Amino acid sequence: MNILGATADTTEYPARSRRRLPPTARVGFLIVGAVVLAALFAPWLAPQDPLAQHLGDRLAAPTLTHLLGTDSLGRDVLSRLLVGARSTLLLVSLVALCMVPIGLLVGVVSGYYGGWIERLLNGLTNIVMAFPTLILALAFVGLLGPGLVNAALALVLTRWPAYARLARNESLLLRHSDYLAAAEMQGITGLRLLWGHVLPACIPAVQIRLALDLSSIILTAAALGFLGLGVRPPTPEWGMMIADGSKVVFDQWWIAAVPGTAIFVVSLAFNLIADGLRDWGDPRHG
Amino acid sequence: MNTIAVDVAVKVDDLSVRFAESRHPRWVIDNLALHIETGVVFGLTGPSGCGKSTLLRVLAGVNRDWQGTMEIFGRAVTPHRRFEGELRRDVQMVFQDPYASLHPRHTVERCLAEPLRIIGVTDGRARVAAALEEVGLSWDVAYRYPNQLSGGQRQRVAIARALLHRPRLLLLDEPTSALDLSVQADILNLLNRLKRAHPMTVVVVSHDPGVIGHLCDQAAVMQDGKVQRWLNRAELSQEGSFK
Amino acid sequence: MGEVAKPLLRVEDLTVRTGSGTTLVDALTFDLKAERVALVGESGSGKSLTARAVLGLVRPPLTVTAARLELNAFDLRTASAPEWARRRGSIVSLMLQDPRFSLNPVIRVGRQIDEIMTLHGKATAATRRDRIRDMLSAVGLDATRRILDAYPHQLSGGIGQRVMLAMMLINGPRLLIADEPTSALDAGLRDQVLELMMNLVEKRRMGLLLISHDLPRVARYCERVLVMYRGRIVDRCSAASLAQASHPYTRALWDCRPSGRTYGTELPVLDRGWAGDGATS
Repeated sequence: MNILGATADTTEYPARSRRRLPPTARVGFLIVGAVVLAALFAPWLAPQDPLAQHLGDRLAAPTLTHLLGTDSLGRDVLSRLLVGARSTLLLVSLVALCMVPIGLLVGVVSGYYGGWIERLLNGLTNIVMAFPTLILALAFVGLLGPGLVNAALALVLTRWPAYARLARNESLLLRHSDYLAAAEMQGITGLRLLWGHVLPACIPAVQIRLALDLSSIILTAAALGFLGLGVRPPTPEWGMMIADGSKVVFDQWWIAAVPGTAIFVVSLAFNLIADGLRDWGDPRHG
Repeated sequence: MNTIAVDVAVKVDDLSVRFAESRHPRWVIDNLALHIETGVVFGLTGPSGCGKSTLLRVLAGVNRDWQGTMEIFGRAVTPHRRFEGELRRDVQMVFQDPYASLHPRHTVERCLAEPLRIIGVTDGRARVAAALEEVGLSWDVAYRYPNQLSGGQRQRVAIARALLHRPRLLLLDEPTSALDLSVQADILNLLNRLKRAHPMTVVVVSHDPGVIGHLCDQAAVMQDGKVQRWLNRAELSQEGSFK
Repeated sequence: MGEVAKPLLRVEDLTVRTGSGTTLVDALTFDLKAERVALVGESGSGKSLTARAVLGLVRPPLTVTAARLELNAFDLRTASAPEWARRRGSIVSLMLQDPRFSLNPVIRVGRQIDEIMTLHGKATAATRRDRIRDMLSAVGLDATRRILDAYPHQLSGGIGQRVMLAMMLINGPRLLIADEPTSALDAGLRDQVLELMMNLVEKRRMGLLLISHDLPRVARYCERVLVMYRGRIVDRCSAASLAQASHPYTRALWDCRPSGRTYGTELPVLDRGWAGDGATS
């Protein structure tokens, strides 16, 4: 139903592969591409050693030698920013790559099968969701020990429920739909049905959620680091740099602002990509 | 493949379906008995809520919460069990709203090729092209998505899909209710043509007496889960016989 | 007294285009007095768009142009938003296919009817209550709490359309535009609702523009018929002469209805060859 009439009639649409990616998504890809390249070549791009401390020059404002100033231990902020991109991107990728499949699996299975499976998985989801993310992450990291991979794992274990919820909602809707009844009539059941018919319906919501989640993952990792349980200092990482810089934010604002802007820009880029991909990939929103 | 030639395609006795809604469960189908002979086009009509669509879904194996006895082509069907194997292939349905039964993220080609792939058909593309041609569509539409098709085209794809396995029992749930009068005429002509080309038993549900009168050899008028009247061909030909 | 009645609605060269230049409604010209006119065509013919253009509901990127667009002698082409708002719901009303999609789903129906009155007048609460009761009774319903307190999705098809009809007529408009008002109803109920609409419109000496794809049915309730195809009016005739229509498109729309008597025959389908395009359904 739309305002133009009772039902939409045939339109002239080029096939999907011929439709171009919207400009917003292209900008998003460009930005992310630039950041990934910067991270890859960071050790060569960085003007200084990110770990070298120039204690006599601490908390310096941007100058020619230190283009973005120095932090509380006299380390060059620009270099730390570039090298820190690696840790941040690695962390975010690890978390996203693990958290989404787990959430989707739990959500799709519980939403589609219903019954006791749903009750069990739902209960599990709710229990994990009820814990404050940070406390649970702290507990995991406390058990597993600090470090980037462990921090990522802790974040995965605490954040998958949101995706399970989304996937379950979509699967529930689909369970009673004619799409699935029609597919079952064709003999499509089990795994093939879940993978090819139920899962694609969950992707749009998950994509959007993921884009919005990325910045909050970075900041939660920073909180972990702040408490000594994340990426171990002195390895630079954007979230940790914000944590460090927050102590002196009123006078030396750039120490927190620089990595903060970087997180903002990358999050924005991910959002643009997600938005553009959703419009491009979902035939209904052409 | 031992397909016994049976005279009775569908035999239903004492069928009851209960819809448990909140505190007042009601009988959507109430001790219904039905015999449909092979090769007949049988119509089910009645006001909204009379149970005709539910009955169709029970015959299709989509609604499995029923009590009573049911035989399809001489084989007994048990409730709460999915249709499998030959029975599943023999009974196919075209749903009421093609927009709700064609997966929005699948192309037409995928929609038709996937069921063939499952049963191990190797010349999938040729079969899909043939299926499309049979319902009056050209290959152009193969890579379109449902929202890029008109209502009539969508319904043709749904019909093509239902016919892929050459079912012996074809169920049509309000096949033209969502279509313009002119497109409905096209689809009704198509259905008649297909019925002549392939020996099938057809059951049609429609609230429109005109559609029932045009397509069907016999019909039943339902109300409140029961059959109120049975109509033969002569009665169907009379205008207003079941208002 | 020999005075020719002034048309309620005058439309001349009404054109609606998309942002990329495709013409959806092509130089439509017609008049409507206090009579019942059916605007018939298939999906995509532009009939619904025409209705919305007449009501000022067409938004960018679609553009509307017209040599003349007058409602009750008021020029709509340059109407401002408040001028439109004064007219919609009070001089001209739009009735749609399904109350579930055209009424506010989270506000009770009684309150929505009340709101239409307060938007267009200053009647007291008691007067409004009386008018609601009278209007609902005119559409064959009792003004019970069950109906007034219901949400749109709780009203069954026939009742929902009657309520919507009451809502659209309560301010005494001069013109009712009904866009596929019975398409979502069971076949048995369609005639009831159309008959009701016809009676009310006649009694109030209003104009009715009935938009539909079902030519045979609406012809029973209208005096004149305009047939649209791809944005143009291709035939105009009186409802009484439809059985003898000469235009191939009109003939096909008239003859394509199935019934007990067309069993075994092939229904006439639209041959669009006369229009010069190879379009198929």
